[in-house]
Amino acid sequence: MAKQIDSIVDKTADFPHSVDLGLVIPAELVGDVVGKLHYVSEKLAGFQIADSNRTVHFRLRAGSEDQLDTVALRLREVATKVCRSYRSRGESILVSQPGGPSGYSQDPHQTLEAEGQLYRYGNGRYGLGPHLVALVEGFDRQFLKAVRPFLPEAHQFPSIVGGDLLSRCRYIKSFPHSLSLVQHLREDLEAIQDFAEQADWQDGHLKVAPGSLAQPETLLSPTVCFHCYAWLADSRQTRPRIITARGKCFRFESGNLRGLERLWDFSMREMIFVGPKDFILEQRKKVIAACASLLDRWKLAYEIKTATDPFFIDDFSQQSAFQRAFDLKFEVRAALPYRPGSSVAIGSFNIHQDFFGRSFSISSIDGQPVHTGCVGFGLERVALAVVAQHGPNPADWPANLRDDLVE
Amino acid sequence: MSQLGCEQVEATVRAVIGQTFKLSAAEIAGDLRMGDPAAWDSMGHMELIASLEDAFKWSCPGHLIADLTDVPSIVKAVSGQAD
Repeated sequence: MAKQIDSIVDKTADFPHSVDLGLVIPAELVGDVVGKLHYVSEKLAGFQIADSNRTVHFRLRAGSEDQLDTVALRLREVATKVCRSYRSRGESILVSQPGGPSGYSQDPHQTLEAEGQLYRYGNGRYGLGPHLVALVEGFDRQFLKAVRPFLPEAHQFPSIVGGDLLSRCRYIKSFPHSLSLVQHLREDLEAIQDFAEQADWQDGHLKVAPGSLAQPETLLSPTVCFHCYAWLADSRQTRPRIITARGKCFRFESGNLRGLERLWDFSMREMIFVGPKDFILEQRKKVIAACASLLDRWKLAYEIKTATDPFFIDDFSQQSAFQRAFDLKFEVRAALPYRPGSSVAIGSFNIHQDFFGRSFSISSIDGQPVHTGCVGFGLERVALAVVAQHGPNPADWPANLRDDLVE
Repeated sequence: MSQLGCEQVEATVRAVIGQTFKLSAAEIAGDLRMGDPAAWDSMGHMELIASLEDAFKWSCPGHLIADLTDVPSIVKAVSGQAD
């Protein structure tokens, strides 16, 4: 314990405490570590990685000084676990498109809110006005047009997903930090009456009488494609399948929630591939080309490169190393000129190998588990990329883009 | 490493795979590849790489991880013959 306390040095800046991590976070992993530090403790009010990625400066919420040692230990634990088994493999960049110069470099959020194009309801919850809706719908329409040659079967899935389905996808264990549970009241007259009498909105929370809530059976769906695998469960697929669906997705991202860059509640267009391994790899290659053409038509600056999913801490190092090693995930990262050097993932192209085939007993004609893959675009992020790069005024958008917004 | 014969390396690789995935002697002697045994999945693969690194006092380069999906490819890699 003494060694751990020694590493905490009082400072006088905005972050009065520091913890020496006992390692250097590789530059490639800084974003992953930062993303997870928000979940360390409710007592943590803010933090900053410093000293060439060796130290975390942080501050606690008022009255939480007795948690100093615990928070410091957890910060170090998270950094250690995320960096464990790190192997540099370098980034594989498939496409690098500088986009068309627009000269716009402001953060568009304030302007959009001022002009009635964006409304903030709460942390990670935003409403969109006509210009942003036009971008969301226009991109979705153009995406479907671009992938029409794939002959995708249109589906619709619920926004609520069973806990059993998520568990089968190993999502509950791999991404517990981002779950959004759905609860209803117990089907009990007394409990419902007690709830109606006692429930109250206090201090930013709904105060609920203990015992009035039923055990959670469902959650808000974190992605679209899981319902598709459940639909195909225990089946033998006699031909490759390509399915598309659009849905609402929900991921609680704590302190990482930031405007349209990272929403708790967002819209996703997905295309799902089911079939033999070679079919999945070939389709991913083709759909990447189709999407790149669309993004080029809208003169967006972006890269398509290798990425990993934000697995929770204990799973992170092994799962992410595996994803990188097998090139399982590519992301489309659109530049955000208002924060030079930064970008936002607007889409991804994923290979799952036979994970879902095995998990849901979906076999191919030869009896082997099918392979699957999916493509997903976060529609609000696409809209953000456009207004961040071309400005919030439609008159400044490229002609092709404006044409594409007209049905 | 270089003093170990190829057969000895293969025996050690099979033993490490067997320990990692808790296989019987008969299973260890069989055709082993990623996906068979079932425990050799994505998580299992990374556990196996770590176990092989310990057993052979060797560090697996990131670009090789995806190639080590059966016994011959692992033997080749830990023997230093892989690119």
